[in-house]
Amino acid sequence: MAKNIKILLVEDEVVTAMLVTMQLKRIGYELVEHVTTGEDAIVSARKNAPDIILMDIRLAGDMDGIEAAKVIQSEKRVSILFLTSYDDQVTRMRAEKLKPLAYLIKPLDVDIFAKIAEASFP
Amino acid sequence: MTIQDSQPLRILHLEDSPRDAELIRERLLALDQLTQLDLATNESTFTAFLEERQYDLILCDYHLPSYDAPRALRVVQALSPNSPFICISGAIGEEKAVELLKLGTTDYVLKDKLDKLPLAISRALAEVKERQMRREAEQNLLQSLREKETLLRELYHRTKNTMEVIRGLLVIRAAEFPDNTELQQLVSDTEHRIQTIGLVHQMLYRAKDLSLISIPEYVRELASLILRSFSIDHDRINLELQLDEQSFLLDTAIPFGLILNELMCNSLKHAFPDKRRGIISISLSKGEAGRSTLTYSDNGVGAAEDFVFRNQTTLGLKLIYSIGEQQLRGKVHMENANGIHCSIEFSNQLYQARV
Repeated sequence: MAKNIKILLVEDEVVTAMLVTMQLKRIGYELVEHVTTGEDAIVSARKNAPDIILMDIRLAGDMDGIEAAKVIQSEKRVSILFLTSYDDQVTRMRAEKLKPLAYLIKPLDVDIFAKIAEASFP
Repeated sequence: MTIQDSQPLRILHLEDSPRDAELIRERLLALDQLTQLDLATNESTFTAFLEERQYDLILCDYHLPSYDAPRALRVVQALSPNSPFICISGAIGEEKAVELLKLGTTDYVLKDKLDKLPLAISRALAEVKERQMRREAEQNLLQSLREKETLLRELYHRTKNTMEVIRGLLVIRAAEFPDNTELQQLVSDTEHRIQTIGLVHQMLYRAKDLSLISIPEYVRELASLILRSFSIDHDRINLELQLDEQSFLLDTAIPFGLILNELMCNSLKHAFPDKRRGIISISLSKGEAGRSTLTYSDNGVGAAEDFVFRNQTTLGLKLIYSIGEQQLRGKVHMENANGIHCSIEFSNQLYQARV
């Protein structure tokens, strides 16, 4: 089941997004879409109904990843996996209020991702 | 009185004798500065005025019926702590005068020497002004320090991110040549080196101290990062760490990390073939006069018996020797001893802190 889950990637740094896409593909996961802003993440979540959102926190535009995740969560329960390079206490506490699947520090460790995905979608 | 200000000086005067109040009022009207004077004759009006209005200065008689200056001072300290408090009184004796000053009275003027009042007022006001300026300067300093910290953190953060982008570009490009094992190896080695440097920046932006890196913490994180990147099972390689608490500047931490990275990558690539189990020991001890010793060993297969570690052309060994000896001004010693053994005694204080 885990390999068929729909993953939405929200990442404003295109090279990072390419790398994550490639890493996930290698272990058998495909993205349903990649977007670069929080606003687009909300639209994509409505359209694609993803199972997991791999969400960067610092994004271009008026909304950061935590704010976007909050809006998405308020519409429909989706598993959020934050993937960020910000590991300060303030950001972490804001993010953890949304009860994400995990709060991962970049770079993405695909083995950890696979373990989390398999445990959540057996 | 030389204080010239467009704002009138707001004074609250506590005095029960109408005659004394008038005498003092005349003195105040003669000041160079416009004054706005409120007169309170008892405790309740005094408190009411203080609760209602802001004052630049409080003048207070010592003895009043059922009230006195020390009690009035306590009320002022609670309601208007920045207003200077001058006691104007008949003779009260040295003991009481000293007590008043101890309690925090700004100054003390005798009623029969009212000509000293203008000087006492200007001194008290100058003191307040100076205190205020000092407080503002301190706040400005604190603010600019915070700004510097934020800026530095952001810079470390961006450096780390930029390095990640460079690593990403390399890996993505290399993925176009999946069968070229030499190229894949080269890219993987380079990735490790980039991550070793990136980790220093990552640790700096989340640390309290913006220039020093805690080395035990760095070694633990770097070692686990390298083990993860080799997809080594948790129990296959046992890490034995013995690390004295010490902190290095970025300029030392990066070369130190690069050496450790080369040693560990070498062990994980060559020392434990056929998925055999093994031990990697890393110890760092603090020596005298800004020197440290890194001791590294694995219990793997070791190098060929006649292998000469120095003067090899592989980049890994070249980095260990040249960084250890030229950059860290140390002495590198490598040998076969039931595996690879390396010790480097080096200087950890080559640079002055710049941030």
